[in-house]
Amino acid sequence: MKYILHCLAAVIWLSLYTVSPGKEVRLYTQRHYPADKEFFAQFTKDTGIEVKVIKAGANELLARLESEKAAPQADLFITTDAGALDRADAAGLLDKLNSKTVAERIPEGLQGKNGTWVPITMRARVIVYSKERAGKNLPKTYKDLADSQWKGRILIRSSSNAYNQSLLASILAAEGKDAALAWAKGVTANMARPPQGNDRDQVRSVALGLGELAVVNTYYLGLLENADDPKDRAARAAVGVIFPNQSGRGAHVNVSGAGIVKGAKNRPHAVALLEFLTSKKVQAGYQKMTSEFAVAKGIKPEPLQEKWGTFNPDLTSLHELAKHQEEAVKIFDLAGWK
Amino acid sequence: MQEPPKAGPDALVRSRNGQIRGSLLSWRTLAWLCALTLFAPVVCVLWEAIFPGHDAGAGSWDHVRTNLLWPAMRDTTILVAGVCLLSVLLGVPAAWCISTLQFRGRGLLSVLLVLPLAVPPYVAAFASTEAREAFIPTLVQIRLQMGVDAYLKVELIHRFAWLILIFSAVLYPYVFLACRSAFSGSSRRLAEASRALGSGGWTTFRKINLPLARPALVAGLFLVAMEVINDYGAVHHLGINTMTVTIFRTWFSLGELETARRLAGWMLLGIFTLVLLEQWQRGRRGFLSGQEGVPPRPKCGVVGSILCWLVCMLPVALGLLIPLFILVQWWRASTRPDAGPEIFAAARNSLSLGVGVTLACLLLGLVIAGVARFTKRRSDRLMAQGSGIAGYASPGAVMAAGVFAMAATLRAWFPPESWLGSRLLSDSLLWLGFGLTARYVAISIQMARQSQSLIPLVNDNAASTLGRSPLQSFLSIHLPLMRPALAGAAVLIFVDVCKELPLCLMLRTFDFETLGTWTWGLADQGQIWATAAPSLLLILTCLLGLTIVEVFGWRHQRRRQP
Repeated sequence: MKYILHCLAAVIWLSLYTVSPGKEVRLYTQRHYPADKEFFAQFTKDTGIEVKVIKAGANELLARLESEKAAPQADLFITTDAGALDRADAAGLLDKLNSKTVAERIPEGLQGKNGTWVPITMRARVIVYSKERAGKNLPKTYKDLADSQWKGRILIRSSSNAYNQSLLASILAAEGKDAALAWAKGVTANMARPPQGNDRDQVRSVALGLGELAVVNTYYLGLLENADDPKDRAARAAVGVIFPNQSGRGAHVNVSGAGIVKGAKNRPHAVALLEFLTSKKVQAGYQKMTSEFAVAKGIKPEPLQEKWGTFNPDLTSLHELAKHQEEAVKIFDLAGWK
Repeated sequence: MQEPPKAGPDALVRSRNGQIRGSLLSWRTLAWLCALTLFAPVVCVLWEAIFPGHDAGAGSWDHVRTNLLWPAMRDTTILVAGVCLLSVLLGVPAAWCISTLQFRGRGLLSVLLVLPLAVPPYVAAFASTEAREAFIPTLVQIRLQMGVDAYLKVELIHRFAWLILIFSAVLYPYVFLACRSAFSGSSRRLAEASRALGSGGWTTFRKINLPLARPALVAGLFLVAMEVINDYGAVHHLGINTMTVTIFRTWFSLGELETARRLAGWMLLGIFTLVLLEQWQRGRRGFLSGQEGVPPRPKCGVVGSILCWLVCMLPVALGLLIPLFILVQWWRASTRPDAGPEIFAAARNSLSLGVGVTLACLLLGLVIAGVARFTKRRSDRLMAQGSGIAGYASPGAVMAAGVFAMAATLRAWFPPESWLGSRLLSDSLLWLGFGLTARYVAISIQMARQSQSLIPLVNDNAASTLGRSPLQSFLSIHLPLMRPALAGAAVLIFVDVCKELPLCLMLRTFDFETLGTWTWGLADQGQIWATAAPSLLLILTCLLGLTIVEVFGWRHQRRRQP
């Protein structure tokens, strides 16, 4: 009997184990970079506010926010996709930020339309090619990837990934459904293998000779260049970078951004964290540590980023992504893009 | 006070049984409450499958059905069939060698053969990265010489083959364990008779051992199939869309929780059909036991011993030694020493979650199995059988969908300001613990019931005639006799909880990483090398538990059979 009572006490203790309240800010974040952890630690050191984190995929976190609408658990929602932020906004999950400091630091075109979210960093989705085997006739636009000359030569990750979903959503926004479906079908037919792995794996596979082109986010190129593994550095050196659509609407860009959760218990702390993350020091720090582009005004790119060249970003479709994301997933399914 | 008996011993027992049933009312209520609560997430999922919401996700259901369902079912089936076949090839010969032959090192190998269970499939998949990459030059050659279409075909087969090998290498122990017990005991007696009558070794194996072991073999294969269906980490890493991956995609990419639940519900119905088929094929045949009069194992010569070692060491090498060797290499080459405290925090979380859920499962299992034994009611026995299996058959993603649905319903009933409401919110380990308990309680219920069934009813009757209440006789007679089975159940639950990925990914709370989620996070970022440290810690934790129980069980068996 004594054992049973002990066990019962242990189970009750475990089930009632909740986080004790203190001076804190709670994040639902999709970002999983060591740099974030370092900046959060710095923030705690500066302000005494503890940063508590749940990391998961954007849609997973959205589902959670939705189910907690009556009693929000998170204060700040951070994702790597403007579409997810706009969907959260449309679902009434985000509150207006109302911070003059942040608003002044960030160009208007990059901020959420309803003032409910701000970007933290920016990344572009570029085409990389094998310097050795891709030939002279390189693609200039995303559309060129669907050309039959690339059959069996393109490496790109799964359509479950938000980066590809937002790329297709931007094509949907700019060119309509038929063009988007034709593009997805064309690229699927040109794949060098069914999608697998992340952007880093695509670059490595180009270097190994599995294909000639890959579609990746810019910051992965930085990660490869700074990697511990010599194979990663060699893979980066073997590919060249193309910013697509430079004579058209610009290269597809997406942002990592944050919005304050409606009904957040620690709103002032969340605002303080956002002001910290958009400060000059942290923005420059992000460029250095993650190779993402800074979003605050007046920050020079890192030498590593300057080597990729300057480019013209597509900021128009950035605010159209949420509207087209679900359609994009369905088009991927129709095209057989796994 | 009791009335004095009026008639013979039968009437005495009958009247006493009546009293027992009365006194068990509160325990029965408790058991039913527990069973129904554990069953609730599954009900939520099934409800959505059978009675879908009117407007919710009708369009997306059609989309999923026409575009995703068939390929997912096909890939899942190929995978399950392949893994089952290879698991039989790895597990059955090894089990046969261990059970029927005597050779040097048999005891050690018998323990070693179980240990690959400690390696989660997703860790094995990460560990195979470099070996898989070694094939890329060959694939490039095929691409250059035979064209893109041939290359795409070979690439697909190559990926399926790897996945089947990875799963089989870490899951065959289920087959091995089931067959090891089925090949010993009376199976060996009959085999001896068959050989004495002039049949060869192969004929005896085919005509005696294998048919006798079939129910156990199918039960073992069923567990293997469930693990494959439940897996998310390994299949996602190798880019194969099984049913579980499709549920994730519907939920998180299409954003359709209702459709995902509906999909999960149909998948559950399919699995339940499999469960029923498995129960039906088993019929009333149990595992063969009874060590009386079993002939001694024939001793192997040098060649025979070497062959036995080869047969037994191959699966151990594939499932345990090679992954461990690779992970240790990575760990030594890794240059990131700064993650130490976090890995230990994750280990602490895994450990406390494992211990907490194991205790909860054992307690609930004891209550439910105990009540089913003492009330002698068919309904209670059915409750004990059903409540666990439903949860165990639900893949982690399905269980998470059910727990979310249950949480949403309860939150609608209790306002967030109320004490209960504030405890039921998702910022609590309660839901994760509950989800894991509901998923794994079946192990403790089944093992408790199995070991209880070996205790003769006459013991209960004797205790009851001597005036002991059911609780007293349960605590003083049953519990001590069930201890080895409970220890086995505890380790299996603990290992499963430590390895569990989808449930932990979906239901975890703030700043709560387990070794599994930590490993997965690193692999998802492409930092495959950095997964070595948490993976090793995870495997070692599970290894420790498994080794203790195996060695303990081995000694126990040797005492019984000198």
